[in-house]
Amino acid sequence: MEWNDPQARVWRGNVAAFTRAVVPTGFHELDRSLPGGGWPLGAVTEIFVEGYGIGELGLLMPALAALTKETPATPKKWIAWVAPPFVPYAPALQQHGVNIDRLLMIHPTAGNKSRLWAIEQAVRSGSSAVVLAWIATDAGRDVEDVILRRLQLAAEDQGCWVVLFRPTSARLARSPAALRIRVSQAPATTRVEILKCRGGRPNIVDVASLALDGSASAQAPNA
Amino acid sequence: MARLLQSLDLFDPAPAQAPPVDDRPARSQQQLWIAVCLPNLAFECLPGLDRSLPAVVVEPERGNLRVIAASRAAAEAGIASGTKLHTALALAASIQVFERAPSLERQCLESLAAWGQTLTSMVSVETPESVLLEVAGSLKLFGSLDAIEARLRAELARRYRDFRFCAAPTATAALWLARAGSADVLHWQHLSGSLAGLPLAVTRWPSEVQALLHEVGLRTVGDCVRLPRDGFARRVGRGYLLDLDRAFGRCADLRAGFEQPQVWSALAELGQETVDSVIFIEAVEQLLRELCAELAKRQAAIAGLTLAFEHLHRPATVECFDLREPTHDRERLLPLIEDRLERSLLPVPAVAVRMTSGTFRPLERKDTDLFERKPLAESTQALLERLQGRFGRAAVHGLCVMPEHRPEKAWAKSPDGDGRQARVLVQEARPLWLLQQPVIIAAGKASLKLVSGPERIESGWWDEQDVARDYYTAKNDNGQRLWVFRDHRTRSWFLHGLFG
Repeated sequence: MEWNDPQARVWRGNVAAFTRAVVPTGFHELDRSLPGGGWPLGAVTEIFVEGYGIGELGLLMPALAALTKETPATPKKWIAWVAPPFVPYAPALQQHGVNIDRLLMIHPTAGNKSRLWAIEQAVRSGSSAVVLAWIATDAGRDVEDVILRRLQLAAEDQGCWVVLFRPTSARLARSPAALRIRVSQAPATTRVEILKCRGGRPNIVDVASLALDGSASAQAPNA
Repeated sequence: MARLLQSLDLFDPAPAQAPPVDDRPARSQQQLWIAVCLPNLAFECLPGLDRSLPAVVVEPERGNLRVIAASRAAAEAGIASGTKLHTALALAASIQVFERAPSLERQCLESLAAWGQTLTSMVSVETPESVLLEVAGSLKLFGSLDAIEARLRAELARRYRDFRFCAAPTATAALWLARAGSADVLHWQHLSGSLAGLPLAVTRWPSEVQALLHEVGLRTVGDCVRLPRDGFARRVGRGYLLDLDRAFGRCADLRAGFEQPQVWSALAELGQETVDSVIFIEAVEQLLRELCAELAKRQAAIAGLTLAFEHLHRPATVECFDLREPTHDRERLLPLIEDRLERSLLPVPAVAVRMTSGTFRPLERKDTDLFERKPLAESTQALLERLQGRFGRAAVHGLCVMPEHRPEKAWAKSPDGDGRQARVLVQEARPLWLLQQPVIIAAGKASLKLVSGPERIESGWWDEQDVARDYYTAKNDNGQRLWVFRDHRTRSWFLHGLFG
């Protein structure tokens, strides 16, 4: 094929080789819909939820279990939890296979400013593998695009997976995040709407294997 | 009996009694002292002066103000040490006059002594204007006395305009020779000859003693030594005879060693009243640079420091910074302080910042990974320090599992999750989110759809926080999966967790 042959110049971004590091989500349906077959590491993932307890945390558990698995080759890094809305319950985390030695709870003072500061510190320090953060809706003022962009760059820089939990109202705002998903409860399943996905396409996935009592780990990881 | 009477003399020391002569100098201890003499220290220690202008430092002496140090311009006008202030003003009308500041002089000497410890371990401060260094032990390290003196000269020239130093086998002799500005005396046999010619002024004995000696026709140190010892001790004083003995090496010349304080403190003047954090950070950066240079020199680390912002008309605002482990790294201290300064607002403008270090601790060397630029533990420590510095110590913690049946006691905060934990696995499903306190469900069971359960937990009778509950997994209308229980005693329903 000649270089100027139109056929050679068709952009095929959707099948382009995806070289970014990922960690498998542990759910087949979701892995298939995400480019590279997993959560994008070294990037910001935004998860939009309307209230807690609908499986938003269980969705991450197989990945967190995989990331905290201790192997001699990988350096020990933290999984930082910034401003969790409730107490992350250690026995349950252990049931999901997460190594709770590597968890670091950070409770910043009220307000998104200090939360974002804490997130950025945790990302930039280079000692966190994952930063999970809960961002509330400040009255009127939400998180600025600029701050998210900075977080995204820092995350790329340090190879840190930043997961921001945000209220669903924030999904309409512009964002540089690599992955934006909305998690909601469908009958008997957890519905994951992929709103934006770098290198992939928007999609709706029903994650069925996330059992009601949270015992998804029994079958999920690399089943 | 006679012996007894003699020993009683000890309790009634007769000043007239001369100590026995020991003609043989204590040559076994081969010492070599360098005395550094700063004749113009009283002037040169004053900070922030224009050195080119004529200026004098005065001290009251017998009702008159007398000049004790003068700038070069003043000296050229004919003002010397000892001139009365009136005379000085007559010689040069436009001179600036300063009062003597003994504390500043002391600081200068201590700073020089601290530097001197890079040449020898035995340094002594001799107020008001001298520092003594015992260098016999360092000769081999530096090669020769010339090498040591070259370093000393370079450092002194950097610090002061006017200085003299001289080496001699005894400390007092070195001091007197340095004051007279004579050449080094390296051998015992030359010591007596060199000292003998010195004027009595070098001894710095009180002026009435010097006047007395002058009246009887004694002009030099040698004149005094030639006098009968008993007579000299009776007429002049036993202490002065001891001074002579020390200078000539006839008795031990003990000096108090200089020890550096184990904390560091310095003040940065801001030049104006301000609340601007940019100016503060600039000042702090400068102070930190000095502190870290000091730490590097002393091979020490600190575990904390305080910043005091000094205001004009009220007590200083003090900010404390605690570190998780001792450090000497400027890169770790600076962000910590910057974070705090950028946020905290001073109540009123400050004019100066004083930085005071915590206690110096010996530096512990750590092995670092060959391939990692900064060891992870250190970056973690830095992160924890910054977070705890801003949000408080309790705001950052790890998690651990406790061997307990009561759900609220089955987990605990662990300091940074560094301890190895017991593996306690419960078989029954546990929610990922636990509420800090169980919340009563006002609507009762009607609003819930129980999915599984019950799991009975009845425990804790021993610490009076016993529980008796039936736990269920439930679902509400919003699709949230809840962990609820019914309390046996109150028979009401509580929400205790969410299956996130």
